[in-house]
Amino acid sequence: MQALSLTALAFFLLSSTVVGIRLLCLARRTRQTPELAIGLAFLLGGVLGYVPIVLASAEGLVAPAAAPAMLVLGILSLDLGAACLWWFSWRVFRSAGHLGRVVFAAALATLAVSLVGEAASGGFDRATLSHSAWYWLGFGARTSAFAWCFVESFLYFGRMQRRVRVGLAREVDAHVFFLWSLTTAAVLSMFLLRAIAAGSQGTLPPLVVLAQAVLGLMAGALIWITFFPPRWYLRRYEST
Amino acid sequence: MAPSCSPAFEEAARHLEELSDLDRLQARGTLRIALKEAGLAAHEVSGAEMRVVVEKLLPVELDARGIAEADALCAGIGERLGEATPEAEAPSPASVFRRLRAR
Repeated sequence: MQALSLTALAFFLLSSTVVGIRLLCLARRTRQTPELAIGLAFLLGGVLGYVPIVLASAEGLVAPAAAPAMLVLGILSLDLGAACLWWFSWRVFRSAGHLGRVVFAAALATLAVSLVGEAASGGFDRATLSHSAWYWLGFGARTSAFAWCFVESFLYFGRMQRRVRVGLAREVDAHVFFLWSLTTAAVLSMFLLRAIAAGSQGTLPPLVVLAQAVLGLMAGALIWITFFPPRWYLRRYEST
Repeated sequence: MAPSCSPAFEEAARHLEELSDLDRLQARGTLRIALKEAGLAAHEVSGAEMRVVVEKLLPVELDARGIAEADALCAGIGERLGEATPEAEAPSPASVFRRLRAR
């Protein structure tokens, strides 16, 4: 079970890294900010955030004195990744009106407060981190970034389906929003399972480990299909 | 504060108001309902999209409000909608995602 869980995590991180780099290359060509933001979100919220945290949390992989610095690096990276995701949802789905700006500002403020609070309370200790209210405040803000993405993309999928019906959009252009909502729902579920797991003392129940592994594999595959659609997928949806 | 409407919406609403008995508020409201049926909003609709909505969905909405000769009225609005209607300023999520997955 543990091997499956690690494989799933590795696949998820590999997928988000490759797609993130590809999107950053696209941003370099197009000079557009949405691809820059989502590319950074994948890298910072994936491999650059999780690897330092996993290294710092595992016994004996890094010197105990270096663990807090690794944790700071990892959490800062996750926060920056979440901020990029918040920015992406705001600018892509809610650029008109003030609501998106207000939500983005509130998310940034929450992430900043959680970091400062954790630092001020002498935190970033691997033994006590998951008991800290400041950590969970930041965790909530990071989780909400995926929740907002999920809601916006699912609502937009509904609107795109209406456009398809009157001939204003192609099925393939509508379906990408369904894929993106599934991707964010899978990651969101991983976050929620992480929160549930933190509440359980000792070893995780096998069902939770299995669910995390399945969600990791799903999210990894969905990221790939959403942003780097394979030819079979395009043939399937471009023909409808 | 509500986002400002696209130039295509403003132009179509003006023509609908001029060619029908609807007042400004009714014309804009009816147009917004037709746009919603097409999954669009007033702030983002382009000229090309507005022409499709006027042709396919607006006649139904006008019929439902008892406006006589809705088809002819919509054909008139379609003719008046300039080919060169400026596009909405902000790129739509659909256009952003098309770019993100371009090979």
